[in-house]
Amino acid sequence: MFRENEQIPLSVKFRHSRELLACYPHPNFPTISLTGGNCALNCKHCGRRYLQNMISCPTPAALREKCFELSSSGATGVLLSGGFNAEGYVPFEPFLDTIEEIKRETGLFISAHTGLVPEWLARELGRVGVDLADFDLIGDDDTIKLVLGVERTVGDYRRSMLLLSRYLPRVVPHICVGLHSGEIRGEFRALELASEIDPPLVVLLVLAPTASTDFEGVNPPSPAIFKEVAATARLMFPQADLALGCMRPRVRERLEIELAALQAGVDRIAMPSKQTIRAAWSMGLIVKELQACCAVPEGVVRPGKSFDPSC
Amino acid sequence: MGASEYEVREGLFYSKEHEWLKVEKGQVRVGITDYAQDKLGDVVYVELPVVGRKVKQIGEPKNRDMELGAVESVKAVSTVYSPISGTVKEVNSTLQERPEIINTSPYDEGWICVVVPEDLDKEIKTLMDAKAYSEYLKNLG
Repeated sequence: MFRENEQIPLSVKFRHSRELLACYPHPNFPTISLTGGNCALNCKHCGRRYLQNMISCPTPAALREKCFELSSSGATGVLLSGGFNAEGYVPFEPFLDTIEEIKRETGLFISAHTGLVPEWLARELGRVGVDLADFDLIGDDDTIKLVLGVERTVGDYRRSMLLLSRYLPRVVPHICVGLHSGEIRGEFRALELASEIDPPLVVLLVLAPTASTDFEGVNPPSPAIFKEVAATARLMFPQADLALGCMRPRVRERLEIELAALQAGVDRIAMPSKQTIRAAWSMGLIVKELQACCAVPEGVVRPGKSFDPSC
Repeated sequence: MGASEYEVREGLFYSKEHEWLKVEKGQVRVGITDYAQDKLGDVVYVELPVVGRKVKQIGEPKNRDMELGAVESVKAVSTVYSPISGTVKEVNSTLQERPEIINTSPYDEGWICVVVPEDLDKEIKTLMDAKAYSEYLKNLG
């Protein structure tokens, strides 16, 4: 797009494109749990709650059957996720042959929410055809201990991210703003780390205090603070797509967070509100629907209808 | 969950899009069914209709005049259609702060709105009763 040392026009710095992709993972890009409702960790923001909203496929046979069924009903891809083991990664080992078969026979786009993978697993995920790793990147040691409760470090996260980027076609860092009980701690460090792999897309999330978790009563970061992180990300990744992901508060300050994201120059928002779509349109953006997870690269799923500004 | 494990409450009427309707004195109360809330997963946001809005009963092809609002889970948005034509009289504003009650109490606390119907006697015949809706769920597999 630009030659080395060429000055990047200001408009590109602040917005990667003139489009906003409104992303809808349901029903064509569902999330599957390979562990059912089980997780060896008990992260404070999740408390195994998020697993309850995934399709449970805890055996290779169940995964195979579900993916073939999804493929025949028009799905374009799946996000393979689940609970972590004590080492901090989703136990993909028993599923590797099945994933390879699913990829070969259905052509589904396969995203994997991996966690802190060892090198052999990163290599195997690449070998069996996983297309993309959704990688939760944390930039603060205290946050890792507080939220995940594991004795891992930022260095471990960096190492796993680099391994995944060595063996998989794409790695999309996911950075949760306010993960440290609503405080800003390692977000800017995480952005710096992400820049090491020159990602095609960076997903920003916002801590969503979830019922029946330890963080149920915490205050999420303010929209202004989120905007600061998002604007920094925009400047640091002028040629990558920037997305506001689905894990974010939806009850309070939903609109403010979405508008902050728009103003900071995000290219994608998972399930934006109608008011946000109207605001994007008034900013001169073309809003298109993408029936997929917001981390899926362009070209895998063609954007659908453009939104009517009167929506 | 199998179809028979979902609560289908007697005395209510149901649409194929999984809205329920309860006839009250001169008005109807509307919500989404136990099946719908389970398929959505944890509800994180509910878009309510504006009081005074006129709505049309769900039919084909669907259009915006038939929409009462939307229910969102983390990864899905589902439009709530009106099972009856009429005027929105009241909305359950508690859902704006506590959308999760749609999951915990879809037929009671999790009601969405009250509509004053235009032609209840005629339109209610197009909806399913509890027995018919239970059969409908079984056929969905």
